[in-house]
Amino acid sequence: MGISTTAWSDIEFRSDRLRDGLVLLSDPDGRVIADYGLSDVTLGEEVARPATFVVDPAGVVRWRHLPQDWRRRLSALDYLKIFDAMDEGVPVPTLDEPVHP
Amino acid sequence: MPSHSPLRHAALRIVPWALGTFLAAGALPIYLMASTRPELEAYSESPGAWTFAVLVALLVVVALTAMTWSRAAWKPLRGVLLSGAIAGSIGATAYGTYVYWFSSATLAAGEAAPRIGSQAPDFEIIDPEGRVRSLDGYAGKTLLLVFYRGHW
Repeated sequence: MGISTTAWSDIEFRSDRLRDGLVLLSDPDGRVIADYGLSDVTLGEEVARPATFVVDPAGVVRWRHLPQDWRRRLSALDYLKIFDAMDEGVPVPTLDEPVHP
Repeated sequence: MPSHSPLRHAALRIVPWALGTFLAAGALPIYLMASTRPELEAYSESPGAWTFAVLVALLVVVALTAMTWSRAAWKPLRGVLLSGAIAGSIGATAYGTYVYWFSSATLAAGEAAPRIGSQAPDFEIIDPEGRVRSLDGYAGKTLLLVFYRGHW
């Protein structure tokens, strides 16, 4: 699931390039983003500070990633590595740093 | 410069100025065109790609400026191309500095973000199909929740 403050009309354009199965949602008022402590203002516009969370079936955060550089993004492969590590019971990197070097 | 037509006189001043500015500002279109190509996407966020685009745009301007020396009719272009190149370079550098340094340096720390082991805040967002998407709606499933800065 992906959330941003971008209007849906703009997200739709982008979502064509994403794989099926990822739900993209718009939070134009920034309410959810504020609830998650991710509000950031750039050039007078409220946007989300990029962040990724893995939430377990009980709603508990099991893993998170808060990059120090907003250009740094995790790839689908990174997500697979995280889920694989969780499935295998291997420690998953918990640092707010990218998984890949 | 011919002075028999005020209109031509004005055009000779305005057109080269607009052209010079347009060419000098060419770094952004070059960058955008290059960075949206799938095979170059991985490099689109590097300062190197931006620097490359600025250099290509500058090269075009410098080449055109050099050509004004060999063509008398192009002489009015020279000054505006050079001033346009300087203005464009300053603008491109300022934009690049913002994108590659300032916007990262001022990124919110996210100290209030939910920590590992804590309950994720519930939310309700209506998707484009009118369905309510909430965290509770995914209870019993593992959810990957990604917050994007924008649509990019």
